[in-house]
Amino acid sequence: MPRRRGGDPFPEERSVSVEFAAGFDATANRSTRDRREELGRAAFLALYAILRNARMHADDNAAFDAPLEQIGRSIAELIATDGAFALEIAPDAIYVNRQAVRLDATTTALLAFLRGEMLARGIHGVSTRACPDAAELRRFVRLFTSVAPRRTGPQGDPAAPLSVLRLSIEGVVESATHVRSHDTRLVDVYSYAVFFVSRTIAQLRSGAQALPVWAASRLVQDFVDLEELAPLRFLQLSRCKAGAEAYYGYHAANVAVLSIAFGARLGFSRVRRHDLGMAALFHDIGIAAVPLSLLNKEHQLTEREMAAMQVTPLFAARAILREREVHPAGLERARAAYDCHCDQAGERAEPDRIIGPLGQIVGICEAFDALTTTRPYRRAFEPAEAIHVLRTELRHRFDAALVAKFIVFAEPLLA
Amino acid sequence: MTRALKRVALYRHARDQHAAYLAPAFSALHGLLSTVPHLTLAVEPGALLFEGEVVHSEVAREGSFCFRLHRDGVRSLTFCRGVDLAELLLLLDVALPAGPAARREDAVTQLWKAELKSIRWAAASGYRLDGDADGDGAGSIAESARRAHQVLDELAETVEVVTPPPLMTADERAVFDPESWADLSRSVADILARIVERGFASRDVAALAECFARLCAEMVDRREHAALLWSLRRAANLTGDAANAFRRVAGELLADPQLVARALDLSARVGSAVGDLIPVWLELLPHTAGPLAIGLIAERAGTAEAAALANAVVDRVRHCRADIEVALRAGPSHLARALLGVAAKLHPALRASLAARALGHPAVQVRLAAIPLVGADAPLAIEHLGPLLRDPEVTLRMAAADALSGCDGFAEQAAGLLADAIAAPEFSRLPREEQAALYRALGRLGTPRGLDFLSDRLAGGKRRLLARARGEQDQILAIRGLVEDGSARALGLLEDRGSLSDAVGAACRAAAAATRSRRSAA
Repeated sequence: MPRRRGGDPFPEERSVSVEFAAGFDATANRSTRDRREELGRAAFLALYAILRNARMHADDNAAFDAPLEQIGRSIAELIATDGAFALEIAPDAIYVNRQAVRLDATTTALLAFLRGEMLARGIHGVSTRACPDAAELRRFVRLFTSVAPRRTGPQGDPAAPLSVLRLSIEGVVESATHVRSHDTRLVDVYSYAVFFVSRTIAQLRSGAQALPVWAASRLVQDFVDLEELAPLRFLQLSRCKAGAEAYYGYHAANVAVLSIAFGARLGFSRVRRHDLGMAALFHDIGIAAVPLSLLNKEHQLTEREMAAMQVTPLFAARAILREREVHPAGLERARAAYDCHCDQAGERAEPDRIIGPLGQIVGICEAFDALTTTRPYRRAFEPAEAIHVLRTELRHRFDAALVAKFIVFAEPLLA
Repeated sequence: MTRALKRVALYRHARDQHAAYLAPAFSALHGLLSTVPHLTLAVEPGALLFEGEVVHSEVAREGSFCFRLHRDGVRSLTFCRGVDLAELLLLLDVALPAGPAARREDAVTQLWKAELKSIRWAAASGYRLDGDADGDGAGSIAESARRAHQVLDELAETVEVVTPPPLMTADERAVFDPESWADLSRSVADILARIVERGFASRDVAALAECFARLCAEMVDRREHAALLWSLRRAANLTGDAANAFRRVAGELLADPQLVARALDLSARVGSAVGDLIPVWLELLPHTAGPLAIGLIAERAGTAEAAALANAVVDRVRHCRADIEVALRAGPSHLARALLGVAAKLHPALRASLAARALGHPAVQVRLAAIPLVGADAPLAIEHLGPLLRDPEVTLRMAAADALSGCDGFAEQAAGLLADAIAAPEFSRLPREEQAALYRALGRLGTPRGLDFLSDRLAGGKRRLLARARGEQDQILAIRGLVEDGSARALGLLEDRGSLSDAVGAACRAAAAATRSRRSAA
């Protein structure tokens, strides 16, 4: 069974607060992971000492010197390695920078105390991207002393707010009691994305005019949030495949997953990843203009049939642009839907046309997913084979440097 | 808070003032949050509620604070300690946006993108489509969920760890994805054009044209003049069966007076760098846009944009002739002159007819500009310019004489008018220069009547007592007229000096020599 984590900050109703922004490091070697765990355990023990002493001493007491020095060192080293420090307390585990810290029988008892003390103040984690100084750490200690308010906000006590440390607070959003695991949420969102695209294409095919853009936006928001929470598990969703009529729903959802994850690896902002996800989700809606018999044809297409297939990017762009939205995200959707396929759409007559960045990313992800899926006219390629095809047969379609980055990004899918 | 929201809603375009409007509400909120860790307000279409009690109410309509939030799915707002004015302003920006709806995403997406730290929100759940998933839909969701679970179950041992350094540096990212709105908008304008050109616009042609027009409006507001010019040219040169329908709808939307005014401002701001932005824009406007252009010229005296607008007006003369006539007769002086300045492209008869209206304009400069245009049409010139020979304004009289001298088809009538003017008693009181102009105009017509008149004047005409000097002056002027005539008969008159005085005789000799050499050169 997949490992479940408690304290899910992803409630049924949505919140903008995602305290623990993280990605994944599938390529991290064992020594890196061991060191992270070692530092996490040290931070955990220091935190335990702080909370225990805070029951008896004021925050300026010398009893805090050693644990504060220890936790400061751990934070500094983790920030140097990972770029951030995030300590998350779950009912039966502790996570440092998304990595579980193994606990023995003794430390498990300490965890219960620690969790109890923190949850009593509504805190279930602490994170930072900058090293806290001594004064900041003392302010953190003060939160657990008798002078501190019983409940705090993300910045701790308003009387002495934290400047770089951020607390993960439970209970602010009413529905936070709906605790669901990431996996359940991942599956929910993914399956709805598949359904959403299939349904949208079917509706377009039957003459519907409007695209349910707002609903797609919510899906993609969830995708982006989930990618931050569980990046590797999120990426692996793209392994779900289906052929025949279900293909386009899975394909669009997979391209959205791949694009958002690839965007994250490229360092794109959350907003930009949302744009990417939206572009990916709608990139293939132009096939609604193509007869199903043609989409599922097993043999080589005739010239006339090929011409019909080639216009799908224009149909996709048309379906998006007839919404008449001219904000950047809407325009990016239309441009990417056209750009990601435009070299297949008989548009090579204008070689000076510049393919937009989102179109390039969606194009590569789209090609990778299509290659790794069984189609009526060919078997599915293995991921490694698909990568090879991207580098060889399809090299003219994509920017070589971007493909090279995609190959690094896609390593977790090659296993 | 209510007062602050009302002020922001009322003056939503005065964004630099919003902080000041919000300051009192913010300090109250800040004080409240020092006593409680957070404050949650339920969002209703026309109200904010705290624990079921209305704390803010407003009319539920488009443009009010709660309405958009509720319509787009926001159901509660939670203000946490640490909230600052900047975040409140961001929230207001989402709830009370300035500008058209097409320029923004839904409120939930905007809030999500804003990443507010101390203001949280809860939205109505769901991205379920209309009618929810049932039957086959529920089955397909269950099937994809099963597949997804299967994939995730295979990852039981996978450990989520921290992101390694991004695959792109910030600099590389800035090069790869500059997020250039100009490029984006131009690219989308191109896609719109391709859809139309390749015949795929179908029933969506109006929607696509509207999208194009909105895109152009956005370009204007973002001052992306190069992208705008490119897009307008692309639309103007569009081919394909649906091109005209596309241009017609887009043109009607581009004819929005405020939008055209903003485009003119943009053109004026960028000057020559913008090239023919305004002409291309105006070219796309519908035939009925003449009055709009006339109205805009009135606000832009003497600018390059005014000339472009005037051109657009005369291009639409068939549809706005009455408006043009009113503008020429009674409009602002610069408007009438701008219209007359571009009238050259009109058919001469139409041009003269319109210009004749301008002869009734109170401004001398307008009438002066209209006279040559009226003169191009002889019958109109005879009708309208004859009376001008007795106008109190000397420049008008001279211009009318000059214009009459070009009335080839009706030369005799014109000569009659000029001769009558010269023969009139008040002629002797006219400035010498004007007298010369009338004689020259008469000579230029080259009519028998004119020649007879000049011959008579050269011979001395009706002599009056004590008027010898004046008689010589008239003879000299007649010589000028004969030189302008330049015909063989005129030359003969100049050479047959008879009983002329020495001075007049010398002038005749010189004039005859000049006429002779001009004739041989011709």
